[in-house]
Amino acid sequence: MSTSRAFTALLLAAGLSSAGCVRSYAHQPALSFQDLDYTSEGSKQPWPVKRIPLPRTANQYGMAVVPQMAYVDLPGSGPDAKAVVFIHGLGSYLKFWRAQLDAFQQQGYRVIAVDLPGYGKSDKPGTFPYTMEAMADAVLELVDGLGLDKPVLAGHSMGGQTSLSFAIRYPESLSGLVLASPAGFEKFSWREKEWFARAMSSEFIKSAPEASIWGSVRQANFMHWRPELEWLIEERVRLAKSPEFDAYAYANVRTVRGLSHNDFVRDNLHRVTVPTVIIYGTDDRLIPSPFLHGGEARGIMEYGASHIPGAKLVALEGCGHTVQLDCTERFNEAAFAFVRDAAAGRIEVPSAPAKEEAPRPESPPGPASEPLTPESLPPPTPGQEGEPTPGVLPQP
Amino acid sequence: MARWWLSEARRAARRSAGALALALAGVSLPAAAQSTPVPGLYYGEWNDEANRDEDAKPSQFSLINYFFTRVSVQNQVGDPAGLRGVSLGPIGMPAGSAVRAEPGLSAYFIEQRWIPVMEYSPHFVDGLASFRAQFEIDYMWGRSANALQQNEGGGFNADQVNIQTKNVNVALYPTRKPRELTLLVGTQPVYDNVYDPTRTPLSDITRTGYKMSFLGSDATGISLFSGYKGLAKLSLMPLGTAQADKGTRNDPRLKYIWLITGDYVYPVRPNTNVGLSLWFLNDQTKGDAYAFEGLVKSGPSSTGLNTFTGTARFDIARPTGNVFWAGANFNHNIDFRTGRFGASGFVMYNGGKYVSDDPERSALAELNISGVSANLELMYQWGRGPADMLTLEGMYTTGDDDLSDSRYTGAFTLNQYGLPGAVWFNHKMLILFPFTSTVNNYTGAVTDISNQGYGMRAAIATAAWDMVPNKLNLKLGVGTATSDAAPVRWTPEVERGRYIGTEVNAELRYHIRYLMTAGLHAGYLFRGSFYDGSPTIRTNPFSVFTTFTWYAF
Repeated sequence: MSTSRAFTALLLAAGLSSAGCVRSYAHQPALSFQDLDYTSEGSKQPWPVKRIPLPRTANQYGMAVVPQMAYVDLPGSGPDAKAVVFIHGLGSYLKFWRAQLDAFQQQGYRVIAVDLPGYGKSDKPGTFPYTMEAMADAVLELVDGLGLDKPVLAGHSMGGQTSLSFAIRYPESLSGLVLASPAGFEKFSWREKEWFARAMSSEFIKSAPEASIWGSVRQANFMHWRPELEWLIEERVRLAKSPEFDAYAYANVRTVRGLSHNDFVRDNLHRVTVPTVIIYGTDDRLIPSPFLHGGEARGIMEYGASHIPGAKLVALEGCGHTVQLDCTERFNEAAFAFVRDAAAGRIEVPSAPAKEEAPRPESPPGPASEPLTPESLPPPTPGQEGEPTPGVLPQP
Repeated sequence: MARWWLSEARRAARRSAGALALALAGVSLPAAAQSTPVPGLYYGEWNDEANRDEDAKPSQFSLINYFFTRVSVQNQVGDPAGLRGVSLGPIGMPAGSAVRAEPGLSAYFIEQRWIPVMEYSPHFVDGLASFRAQFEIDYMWGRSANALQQNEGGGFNADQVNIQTKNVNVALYPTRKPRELTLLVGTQPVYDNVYDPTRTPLSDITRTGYKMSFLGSDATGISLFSGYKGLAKLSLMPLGTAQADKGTRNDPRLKYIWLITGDYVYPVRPNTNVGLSLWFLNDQTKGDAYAFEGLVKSGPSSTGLNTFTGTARFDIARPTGNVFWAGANFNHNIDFRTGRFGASGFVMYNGGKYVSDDPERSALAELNISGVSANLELMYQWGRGPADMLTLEGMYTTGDDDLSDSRYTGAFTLNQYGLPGAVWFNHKMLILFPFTSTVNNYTGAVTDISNQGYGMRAAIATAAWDMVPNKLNLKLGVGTATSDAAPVRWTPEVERGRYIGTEVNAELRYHIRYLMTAGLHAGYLFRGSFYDGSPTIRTNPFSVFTTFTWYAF
């Protein structure tokens, strides 16, 4: 093979591989959280975004300043329409429910989608606790403030754990749970919690290069990526340039701790008294934690379903962690059927069994699973991008 | 009495206060996330904006431990005497480690390596610098390795001085952002790609640039890494010195082997990078510098180095000269972040010329170098995650039909100067190319991509399956290779062919924890006509290993 042939082969390979290249958004202007495009997927109609102050939550948690939470409120088919409250996961915002909000409204439901404190268009106070309990209290204050009558809560991942905390502590304030790839079923040892605390820093999140963002968004969350989902990448890349991103990154750090700071939800699953459906993707790459445990999501979800009285488990074959966007049609079909029956009171919930000591699931348990870092690889030490390479070469 | 009571009461009160304080602290733990509101104007708003109390702070001191142990059973038997426990080089070599594979002859050994990496970044310097030191402690169980002193550290009595200083360097960060600008000064890893080795995972190092097939070791010098509009690296390293003219010209000055490398990589798209490289080596040591102090000299005239590294041997005495490398490389989506298809590859041209300082006594008065190497790997993620992977890789290097003439047309790697100086790391073979998870047994059919100067055409296919996601991985591989040029006969009466052989292998890896892995590896090489007539390779080589690897941080 001559030099020219070798170069030709390389150029050909590079050319072929470039067919799979993705667009870069690194040179696009900064995007403010307030300018996030909250619109319907099809019609591009803007959703009405409102803000509600949370004085009760602020008082409960000793905050000096009352934070405001942003939410979208889409009216139902009538004044008595059942409300469905959508709660996003870690590192995301209400737009992650883009494929559900209009769809549920068209089914006649009143649709509320929240940006939890620290995320989306909501305030990002450094002093908010960012535990699932505090998040749930913020949601409860919204539910009470809007006068919603026992809504159904739909939570994805961290939003699922938030919904569970809500359901356990305020069982009279909701009528059902839709849990999409929920966090909260898994056991952390105290050492693993320490690792999270040591590994997560806002600087690490802020410095994630665009290449890594593709990993943490697309690779970690989706099995059926489509070009129309690229807004997820674009917005994350451009948001990182905005002045508020530092506060958002810190909220992420705090929330990771909040996710794992206690086992309240996991230890009290038997206290959930409302109809519950758990919808997850069998190819979830974040549950259980790929770093700490490995294994498959099935065992984790089965553990949750077996401990929540009457819970229904729906496995979506071949779907990833952000199951509501990855496998929209199948997710919506399962969610619609459940919410319809729950709203009509057609789902019986058996009385809670006596609490057992929660056994570790058969498959290796994982922690609350979310894109815990903006990389597909956690930093071994804070502020580092990867393990320095010890010499693993043979050397006399 | 009263005073005694008073003092006891005070002590009790103090104990109670302490207990109360501890209790309050305990009670307040769940609320630690909140700051106590400060009364008055402005403070609350400021605290909400500025509070970062729970952010993970970079530690001033960090220790990363690399621990590796391997149990091997194989019929590739090397002689570890020369390098005190280390066997290196291609099988069939008559000298060096002289690795043989003969019927009824097999060996077993256990290796162990510990590499601590210490990093100190005192807050006092405010992010401007980090100090790093990296040491290496190797053993072959029951025997010493890389050692001085009388006791055998891997055997009874232990207590051995065998710490190798791998790296001692200071990284300066003028902008306080290592990604933007890093100046690395001192003994450091040197690899044939653009990345800062102190901040880049090994997996990225081995799959990008030239995949360590040209340069992969440690050296002392200075490197500049920049992240401005792509990634750039400029490196200056003296690879060796010798008093080359002390005996002949009464000139005691040190003469150097200098290596200057320049690399640039431009990210054309996220996860798609294209790079260019230009490197230059100048050697004025006239073959007197050592690759292994006191034992094996370096450079094209070395009579011993090629037997350990698998490079070509040149019959030139006291050479001085220059070598340059010009290359292009690319990698696309090698972690499958943007899709299911990935690829990487390179083309490298090496050229140069050595001239003998003693042409009267040298078989070759000069040596002209001109060779090409090319590599391409295609990857496909067939399953759930990136570890469910199919790969197809080809490596091509031009060969030389006559290594005794003054024109060398093969690949010229830094294995001509180090023991080894280049380690193609990502080939996924165990015997056809040496299994790279090793301490001191780096042997196989081809240990340098030049294949002893004869060149190489290799194709490798692997299929991997994460049987339990992120937990249990099975990899099956097959690889075949031929030489590009006809090799010199082992014995005059038997003609040698170009077919080196075909390997089949299987590897099972269990991830106990992140970066803690136990592995079982087995390979078998169907040797080819390349070994026809070899007095020492008279059966097909096989290897079975168990490995335990832990990056502890």
